[in-house]
Parts: sequence; structure tokens; C-alpha cells
Amino acid sequence: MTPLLQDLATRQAERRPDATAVVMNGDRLTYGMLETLSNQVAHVLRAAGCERGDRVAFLIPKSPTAIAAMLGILKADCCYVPLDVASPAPRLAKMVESAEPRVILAAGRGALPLRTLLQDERLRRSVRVGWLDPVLSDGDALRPAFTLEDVLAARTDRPDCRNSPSDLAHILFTSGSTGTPKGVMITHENVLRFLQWAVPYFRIRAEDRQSGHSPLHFDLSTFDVYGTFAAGAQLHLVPPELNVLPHKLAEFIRQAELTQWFSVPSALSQMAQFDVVRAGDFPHLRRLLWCGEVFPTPVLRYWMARLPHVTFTNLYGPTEATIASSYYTLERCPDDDRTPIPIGSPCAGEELLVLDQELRPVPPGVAADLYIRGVGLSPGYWRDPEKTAGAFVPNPLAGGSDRLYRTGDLAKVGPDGLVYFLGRADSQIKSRGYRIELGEIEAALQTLKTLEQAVVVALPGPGFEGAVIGCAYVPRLTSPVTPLELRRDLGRLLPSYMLPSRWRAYDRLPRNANGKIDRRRIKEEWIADEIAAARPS
Amino acid sequence: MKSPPLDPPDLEARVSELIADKLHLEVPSPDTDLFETGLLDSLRFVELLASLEEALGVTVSVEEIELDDFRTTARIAGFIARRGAPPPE
Repeated sequence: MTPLLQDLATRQAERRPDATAVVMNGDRLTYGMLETLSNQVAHVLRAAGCERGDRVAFLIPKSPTAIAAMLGILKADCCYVPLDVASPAPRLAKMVESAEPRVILAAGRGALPLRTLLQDERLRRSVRVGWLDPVLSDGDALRPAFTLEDVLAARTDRPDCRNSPSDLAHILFTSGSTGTPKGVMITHENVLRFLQWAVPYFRIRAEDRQSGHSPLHFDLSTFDVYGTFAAGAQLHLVPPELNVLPHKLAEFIRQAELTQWFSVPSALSQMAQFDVVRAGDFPHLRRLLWCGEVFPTPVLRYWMARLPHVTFTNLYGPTEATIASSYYTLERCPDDDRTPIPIGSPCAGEELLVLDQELRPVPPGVAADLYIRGVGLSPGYWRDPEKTAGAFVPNPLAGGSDRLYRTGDLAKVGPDGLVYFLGRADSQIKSRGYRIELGEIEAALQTLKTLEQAVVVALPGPGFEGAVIGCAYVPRLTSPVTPLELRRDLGRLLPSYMLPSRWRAYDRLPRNANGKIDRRRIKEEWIADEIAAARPS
Repeated sequence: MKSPPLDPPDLEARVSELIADKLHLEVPSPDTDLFETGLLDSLRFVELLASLEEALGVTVSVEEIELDDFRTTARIAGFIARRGAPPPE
């Protein structure tokens, strides 16, 4: 039988049921407990009417329960749709409307957005709620079809699975430029093939203690979870609130005696900014990996100088190509702050291609569009053949069903044969590790009645934090609106990380020769004014 | 100029005011979880600490912070009250 993702954990439960699988804030699940609980979730889901290929969404804060729910959904031959409990209900509603889940599993703070979602009559009729929290107070109002009590009373044997590796394991929603999030479909095979490369490459073993830093609706968390289970190691989920204080993150790595840390660079940059890493710190740590944005070389040097016992690897790859498509492990600490760190060479089964507009390879050193080909490529965007056809194109070099994914990133091949990332070809930005389409923010701004017009631009942030979002707006004459009010209103539509942090009111937005709003000029003037303001007079 | 001692409800209001003025954040209620909602990220958290120090004279060392003391505006007010008002200068 070809294995599926859930079989990775099952195999460990058969061999070492008492070994620790997942830990968070003193909650712990062994592989045996994880197996039983996920089997029970699967049985309850089937009893609630879930059939092969159905989607099951979960609105569960990061926790061992959420991990068991993920596995349980897979064991019911369904595909999970992780939703961010901190996201406002209107944005979640778009995802739920698109995914059409049979069941929504929820717990803790997930009750808040779920209550708002269920005000929609149609959704209330079509979806069933499973409340997976020992505390019932909030859950009661949601009139759940089943609760944690039902799960714990369910059969514990392993359900028969009929899924094959090419079936969907999860749909991950990312920011969409027209205002509607896009659902990236990921199969069991997509993830399994990445693990086939990553687990031996990083030599992940049962003794490992790995970080679970990324939120579960992030692509990177897929590696944290299944990379850990493939090796029978321990997954230490990092409580999200530690992110506000770099000292706490450092303390977490020390106390949990982590052997692997994997996060977006912004978390590492903050830790460096607050200088919380001591020389020879984290004696158990063996690997430090990052993905999702550029890790500034000065910060990397800070880390490498302090942790000579650790291997540092840069991973690169969009969600559409599953976790990562290329890697670069540093042989030694760069001796110059200006040394660019390449995104490196393709992982096994992947290929990185730098192509011109006719999809012809360009010579080394020339900047052009970066394409990815290989085993990580998603089947496409959920129920969106148009967007899928736009981003996943037939490979003219191979023919047949071979496809290329257009990343929207610009890159070049260096004289060393390695690939170097050079920036974006469109208005997608990375802010604190989040992938954000500026168009999605503008679409939300357009719905505000207090504004005549508004555009957003990415401004350089302080230190190495990446971009900050600036909003240039024209208020409606009748309503003198303040940034505070705008932020509040927009906060009802978009998650916190998408909200502009700088605001500028205009009487009229500057336009270019074609009559279009001149975003470039707005951005350049804004940056120039900030530099002037920062200069001591 | 340091503010005179404030009662807990006044302190709560003062903290909310600071968060609104300095961080441009509107917190729905004194019990809203600032971390879980994503309202406070690391940059804003540092700004908040700086504002508390500047406006209320409360100095907090990041090494000894208990995050639970900062989870809601009510808890921040409670923390400040426990710390006691700064001595008048």
C-alpha cells in the first residue's frame, strides 16, 4: 500500500506508542494518543456524513488537538482547510464559501469568528460544527453536531482509507490580488515527495526536538508536522504570543532543548535586533532553517557568529510548489554584510528555471522570471481554472502534461550555478513572513464608505523587518476620517498583519501620463519625506 | 511631568487611550486578548512598553516580563497598579 501523510504518524504509533509526538504549554500527546484521538476524529467525521474528497475546515488555535484534528480529517479520506482564528470573519467567509466544507471543527477562540460565520443562513444549513474543546460555554451557542465528548467516546480502531497519494491533503488559502484569497490545493504526494528529500538531507531522527513556529495555516508548518512524524521525533509547538518578545522565543529554544528551528527570517531578525542570542547559546540546536523571505546577510552573520555548532540552511519556495523547492546550506559564515545568500539548488525532484517571456532559458547572470517544475507542483487553485491556467503553464521544453509554475519572482543564475532571488515582478510583498497581495488590501479599502479613493504601497521598514504597508487615501468630503478609524474599519475585513501602519491623506492622488494612479510617485515621495523627516535639523 | 496615581478603572481607560493614540489601535474591550487577536505584534509591543514608560513612568525590563500581564488592557492596568505609582518628582 502506498503511504499517505497520516501513515507517517501511524507507523510511529505502532513502533513507539509511548514516545512523545506533540508538546505545547505542558500539553503532550504521545504517538499512541495521537493515533487513538485522530482515529476517533475520523470515525466521528464519517458519522457526521463526511465522504471521501469532502473538505473539513478547522478553526482551532495551534495546539496538539489541532494536530490530531488534521490527521483525523485525513483518516476520514477528507481534505483539511486550516483557517486562522485571528482572521476577521468576512475574510474567512470567502474561504469557507469557496471550500464548501462538510464540517467545521472549532475550539477556543475559533468560536468568535465561527459565530459570525454561522449568521449566514445558507452556511448554517450546509455545514455541521464539531466543537473540539473541553470547555463548552462558547461551543453551546454554536449548536455543534458533535463535541469533544463524542469524539472521546468514539471507536478507536483505524478507519479504512481509500485515498491515494494523488488525492488532496489540504487547501491553503493565500492572499489574492483581486481581494479574494486563493486556495492552493496540495496532495499527499506533494508533501511526501518533499519529505523524501528533506528528512534524509537534514538527517532528522527520532531524538530530534523540532520547532512548530509557523501558524498551521502556513505552508511551512507542513514540514514541521510531517517532517517530525516521518522520523518519529518531537514537535514542540511555539505559542504564538511568544512572537511579541524575542527574549521569550530564545528562552523557548533553550528550555525545550530544540534541535531544529524553522521560521521566517523576521522572527530571527527580531531576536538579533534585541540581541537575545548568547555565544554558544542553544547547545542542543543542530539546524536552523528559514524560508518565506530574504534573510538579511548582516543578521545571518550575527546568528552564525554566535552558533558555530549549528548548520544554517536557506529554503526557498512558494506554497504552490509545496514547502520548498530549493535550498542553500552555508558552508561558513559570510565575511561581508553585502554577500548575497543564494536560494541555491533545487531539492530532489524539483527544477528551477530562469526564463524569458517566450519561456526560453536566459544566459547565467541575466535577470528574468523564475519558474519551478517538478514533484512539488500543486494541481492548481481550488475551483479556479482561470487563475490556475495563468500561473501553471505547459512546459514547452517537455510537452505532454508537464507543467511549470510561474512564481512571479525575479531571479538569475550566478557564476557558481546557484540561483539568486532578485525581487518581485508584481505587487505581492512579504511583511513579517506573511505573503500579501497589495491588491487584496486595496479591494478591502474600496468597500469603506468613508473613502473616496485609496491605494497602498510597500515602504521600507525599520531595521530588517521587511516592508511596512502605507496607505495613501482621499477621504470623502463629508467625512473627515482619521487613520485610527480607518484602521478599525479595515480591521473588520483583514487580518492584523495586512493592515497599513502608515497613513497619508491626499486631496487628490497623483496620476501618471496615462491617467492611472501613480503608485511609484506616491511611494518615492513618501520615502523621500521620511528620510527628510528623520534627518536631524 | 508624571501623572498622579490612578484607580484601576481610570488606569484601564488610560491604557486604552495610549494604545489608541500611540499605536493607532482600537481595542474592542478591556478583556480582548491582544496577542491572540494579533493586535499586538513585536514592533507594537515594544512601542507599547515605550509609551507606558513615557506616559505613566512604568519601566519594564523585557528580560523579566510575564506576557500574561500584558494579554489584555485590563491586565496591563492591573500590572501597573501592582507596580505602584511612580514616586513624585
